[in-house]
Amino acid sequence: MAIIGIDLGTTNSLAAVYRNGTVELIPNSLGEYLTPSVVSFGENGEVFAGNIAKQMLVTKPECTFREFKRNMGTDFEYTAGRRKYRPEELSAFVLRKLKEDAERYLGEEVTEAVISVPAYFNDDKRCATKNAGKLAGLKVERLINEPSAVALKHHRESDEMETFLVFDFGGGTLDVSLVEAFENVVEIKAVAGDNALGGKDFNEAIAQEFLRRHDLALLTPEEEEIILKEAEQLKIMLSTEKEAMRRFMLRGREYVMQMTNQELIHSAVELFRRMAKPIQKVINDSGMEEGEIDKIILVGGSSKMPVVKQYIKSIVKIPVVSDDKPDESIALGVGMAAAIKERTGDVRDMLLADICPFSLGTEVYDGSFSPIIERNDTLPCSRSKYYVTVQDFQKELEFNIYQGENMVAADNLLLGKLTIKNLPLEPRGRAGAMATFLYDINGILDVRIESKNETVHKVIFNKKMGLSEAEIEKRVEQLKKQTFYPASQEENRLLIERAKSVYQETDPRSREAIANALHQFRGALQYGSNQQIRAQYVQLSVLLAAVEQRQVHLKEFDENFFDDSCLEEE
Amino acid sequence: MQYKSDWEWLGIPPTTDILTIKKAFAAKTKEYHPEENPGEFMALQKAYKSAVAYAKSANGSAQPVNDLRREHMQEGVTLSIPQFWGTAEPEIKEDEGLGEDANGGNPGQNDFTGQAVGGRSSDKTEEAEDRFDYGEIARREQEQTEQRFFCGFTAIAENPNICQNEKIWRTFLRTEEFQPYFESEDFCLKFLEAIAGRGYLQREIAQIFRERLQHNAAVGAMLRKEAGAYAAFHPVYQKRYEKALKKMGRMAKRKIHLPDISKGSREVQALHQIVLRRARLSGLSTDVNTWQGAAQYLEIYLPYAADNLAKIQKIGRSSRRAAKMVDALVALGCLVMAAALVVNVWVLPRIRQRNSVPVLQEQFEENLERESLFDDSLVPDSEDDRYLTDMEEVLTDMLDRYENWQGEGTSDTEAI
Repeated sequence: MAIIGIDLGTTNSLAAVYRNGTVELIPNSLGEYLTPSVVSFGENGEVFAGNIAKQMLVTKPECTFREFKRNMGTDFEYTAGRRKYRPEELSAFVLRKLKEDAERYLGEEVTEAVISVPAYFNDDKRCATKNAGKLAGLKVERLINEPSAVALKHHRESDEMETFLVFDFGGGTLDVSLVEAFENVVEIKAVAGDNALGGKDFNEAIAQEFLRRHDLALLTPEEEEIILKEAEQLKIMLSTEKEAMRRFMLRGREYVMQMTNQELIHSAVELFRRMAKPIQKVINDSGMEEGEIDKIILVGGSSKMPVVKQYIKSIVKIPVVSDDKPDESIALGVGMAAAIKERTGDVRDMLLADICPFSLGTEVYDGSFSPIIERNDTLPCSRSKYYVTVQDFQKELEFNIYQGENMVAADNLLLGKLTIKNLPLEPRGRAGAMATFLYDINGILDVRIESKNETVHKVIFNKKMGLSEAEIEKRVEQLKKQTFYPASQEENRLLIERAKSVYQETDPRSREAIANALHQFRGALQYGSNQQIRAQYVQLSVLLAAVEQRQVHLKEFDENFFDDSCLEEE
Repeated sequence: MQYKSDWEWLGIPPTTDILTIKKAFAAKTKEYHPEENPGEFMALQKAYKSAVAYAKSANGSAQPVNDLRREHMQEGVTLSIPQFWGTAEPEIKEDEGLGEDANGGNPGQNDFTGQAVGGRSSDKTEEAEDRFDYGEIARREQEQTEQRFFCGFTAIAENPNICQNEKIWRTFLRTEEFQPYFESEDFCLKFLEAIAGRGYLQREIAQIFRERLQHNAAVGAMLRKEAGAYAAFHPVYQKRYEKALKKMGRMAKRKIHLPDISKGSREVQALHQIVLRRARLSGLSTDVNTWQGAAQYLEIYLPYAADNLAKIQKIGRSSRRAAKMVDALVALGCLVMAAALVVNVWVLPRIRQRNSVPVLQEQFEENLERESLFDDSLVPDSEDDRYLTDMEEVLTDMLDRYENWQGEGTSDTEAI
């Protein structure tokens, strides 16, 4: 029974497993490591998760969803036809896909996983992630912070004694962690981040700039999706070129989206400012000086952008290093964390000393917040504080447990309540109780309150998170009934969807060609032999690639291109 | 678990060499791994941390940031905003390394490590890349500073507990970071307009604002109503300035007592108490009427206000509304009382007059007598009754005679 590590990202997800002394990534049914975190629903109630769903973003935006990680921990509902879904249910589909692909690859059942979350995720969001795992049929006991995973992987490779900063800039979140690593110990000293800043914000900035330049407004969802998709492609192109251009069809006209890196900076000034804040916060919180930090490691898809890299260089005096595999590092780290949890292999002695990213405490009589476990305390962590009564002969104390940094308690996140009764009758200030908070490495908060007469004990389980135990059970059953598209057909279906999506945004001449090729492909699928299917598959793929690249003009395609007679003679 | 000292946990003799401590800790974690022995791991960790702290203090290295701030505070009154906001702003250098601060050349300003402001990474050995200009971001930072000023202004003005506190205002206006802004007329105009909207502030506060604005030559001239003061301005600006200055003038002259809005709702009081309590817990002064207390209050209050401005505005508005309502109720009460007084003194007596006309004694008795005259049980002894019996005889006599005549058949035209 294997335990896998999953990087559940905003835009892409990956799975990894520790085998034969190393961590390896698990390819999905299409042979790729990255599975887009997109979920779509077909006409027959079938579920698509991954690459196919990503293509359906353009063709069927009304029942295709992505970036639901941003809404984890909220009561946001996604509507697809007649059914409504919560973010954790959509995440569960993605997790299930990864689980099934892993089982196929490993040849054994996968029942447990360690999932990564942004370090700055609060309790609601962490709970939702664990629930998503449960809904997918996985036991999720441990969540690991994404930058900590990167630190693990990095230290394992370099094995030196060093202090470094991890700048994890993904599709939807930014996390910065300050790590001290020596021998077998990876110690997190401070974390900071922005839960709502990621690569997608750059896509939106580019899209906004485009709309502004061409004076467009009032777009349908399909049009919006097309523009965002082009913006994303443009952004990726800008990582390797000085200037980039995309041509596409919108409302029957051809538009050109064009930008240089400098223009990108101009349209996203606010995003850069928000990037700087967590870095400075982390350095402040740790009490270290810039000179003590050896390097900054950039991970996450969005850190590949040269504008981001240079910006970081310009604001700190620390050498900046790009991770060689920014998309994959987190998953590899989570795979290691899974192995550490199991205490298998030669990682058994590795130690990840992570910290609590938020303060945990209780509310006191005047409404202010009294933290018991402070932010950046190392886990596992046990702290106690003594609280007393405010009135004479007060019989009970009510503890409202909050998570957050606000000095007014009610502005923080309420985790639970605990009341201790039967206090000894004494004048105010003399009777009281000792509150002990124990926060373990699984992120479970255990509260124990002891007075002279009795002890009250509770494990804080975030009950207000939409789904109770019973409801989860029910939903698991429901979701099991929704099956995925059969993996054997996946490649072909993916190509068809891709064709449909490219068709929508291209010019009439290309459309004609695509329509013809698609027709032939479909014909082959229905009546043709495997060879013919393969041949048509290749043709259609090539055509799509060419159209997407705009490198080959249509007139170079002549009749011979569609001539299959050569194949039939084999 | 038996008691062990820090060094026993780590398994090494006391030392100030941090490297040794780290190695020892790392080795011991193999024995007490948190997966299996969380309790012992926690104790080991605690030991490790105190050992490191011991070693650091022995080596005399930098204190943690929190202590630094507290020391800084006891030195003086004017704190640079980085202290206020809890973190320092990074210095964003343009790639040409201009050497001048982007924030108007304040030498006393800290960057986020307390070291001298430096440039970018010295790592130039990478592949030649395009240099990008991030100057725009620094400029946006500056705009943000201005925004922060107005945010702080609103936060103080909307808090009934401190909006009339002179020391708080003076400390705020003296903040390092904002000084360069007062030289810009644009900024001063915005400031004036913000003040003008706050008619409830007392005139002493208006005075403080005036003093601050005097520093700007042009605005000072306008305040002193010097001739040709507006000459340099665009007419639109002129009008705005005039309007704002007039309002401020009115504030400064006001002599009537303004409603006391510090006795606000529970929420208002609660927030105030929380800030004071936090100050007390950190060992700081809580008397908002001293310079130090004011500065420390602001240090705790402003970061909170920045994040919760909407809430504070709501509190401010509702407490002003509450004060107005209380005033209105009091006025109403006075009105009601005045009306009651008028009614009692003037109206009622008039009504009473009409209903209480006095009666003479004899007339009263006469009336009584007259009433008894119509009682049938009394024997008639008045002339009227005799008259009636006489009349009866006459009528019977006439009737007899008529009956006699009936027999003789004479015409009935005979008059009686």
